[in-house]
Amino acid sequence: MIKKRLSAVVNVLDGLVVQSLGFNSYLPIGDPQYVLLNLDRWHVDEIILQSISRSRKALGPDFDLLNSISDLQLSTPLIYGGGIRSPIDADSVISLGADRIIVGNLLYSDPYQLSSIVKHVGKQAVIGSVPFSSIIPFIPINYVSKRSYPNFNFLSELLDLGLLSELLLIDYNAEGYSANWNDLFSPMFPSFSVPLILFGGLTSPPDISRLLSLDIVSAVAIGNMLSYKEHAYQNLKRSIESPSLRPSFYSSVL
Amino acid sequence: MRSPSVGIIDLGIGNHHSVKKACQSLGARVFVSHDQHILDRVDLLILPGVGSFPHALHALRERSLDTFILGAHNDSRHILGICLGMQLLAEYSEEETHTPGLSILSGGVHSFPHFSTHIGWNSVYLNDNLTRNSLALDDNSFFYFNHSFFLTPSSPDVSHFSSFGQSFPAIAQNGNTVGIQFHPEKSQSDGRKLLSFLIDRSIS
Repeated sequence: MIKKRLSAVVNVLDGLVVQSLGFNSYLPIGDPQYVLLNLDRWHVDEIILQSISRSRKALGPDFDLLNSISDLQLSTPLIYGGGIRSPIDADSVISLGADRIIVGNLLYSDPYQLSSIVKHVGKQAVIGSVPFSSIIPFIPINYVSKRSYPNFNFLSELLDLGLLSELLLIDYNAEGYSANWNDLFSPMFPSFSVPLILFGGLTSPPDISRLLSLDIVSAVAIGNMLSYKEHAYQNLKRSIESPSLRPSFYSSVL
Repeated sequence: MRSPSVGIIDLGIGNHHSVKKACQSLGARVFVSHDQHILDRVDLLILPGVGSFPHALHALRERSLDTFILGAHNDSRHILGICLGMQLLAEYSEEETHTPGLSILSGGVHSFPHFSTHIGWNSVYLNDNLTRNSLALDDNSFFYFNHSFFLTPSSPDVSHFSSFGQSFPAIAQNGNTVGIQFHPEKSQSDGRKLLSFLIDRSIS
């Protein structure tokens, strides 16, 4: 039976891994290569590599970043998000080693491109990313323009077209902070017709375990808390004690 | 002993990078090519695949690689199809439109109900009709899947199944041709072990 996933988020800004706090401030962590090698060695379920501010700066995908990690021989599924605008961008990102891509700003700026992208790389390779306000639940926020929308009907329409394989649902206000997941999001879940990856403030093992028990949730993503301890990922997985996850893996090879 | 050689069939689409790196990390010399003269000389041919069946089949036919692969199979060369690559080995696929495949593996390719996608880590189990685990897979192995279509479960070539609402073929074999629905190159230790086994077997 398919397992749920505990995804490791790596945010990269200007070539450096950063700890993101509420989409607004960033603290440096280190070199992406070493962070990714550690996660690969820890056998995380998947890596979500987000090159942030690419869309805000109209820069397109971070090919320098992808080229810099392409020789690492990672054997862990890799999802890339940041600046993808077109089928050519999507193809290029995948040819550099990503298994799936995340589109965020594109859902607002040019949703018609989404259909072309899906045709090129396949629906299973495309994940939509939408931050939602937890101050006023059910309100999606475009993190580039900082604009909020009155409802998520536009998203429901895209999902009904069958263009996304999963949706990365982000708690915009809790992102980067600890044990702050807002349970007011849960009533929204039945509105979505694709599996959800939940991200933002999720650090509490009981919270994570409870969310993973929901049919609609395929994965929970965690970010900042992985950066400061050896085996942070494996220890968290063990604390969650969920049979829906793969067991923790401890490598004996440094 | 010489190191094994792997030829990754280049269709001009998708991600060869991860497969190439995985095979290199296992000590193989890797060539990514659509040149039959180069592919003719390798120990193991790998047909990877990302994207759609009709698109990939068209790319194979354009390069005359469909007849090349059939010839290689008939010559008992070692061939590995991964994900869409496995599906290309089937008789046909219903993805987008009915498209004939290479007919090396029996059965057709169909979508999961409601076009759902099977994404994530899953285990595989030996076909009940078989007594010997020819690929030496451990019972507790997990592999990474990412697909919306699968081979007919009743195909006589199926050696291992997985489960996603229903049983479906995870691995199918015909002679020295193996089709794997999951991505061994992205399946960490368990995937590396299987890839290593298949590479070593190609020169034994």
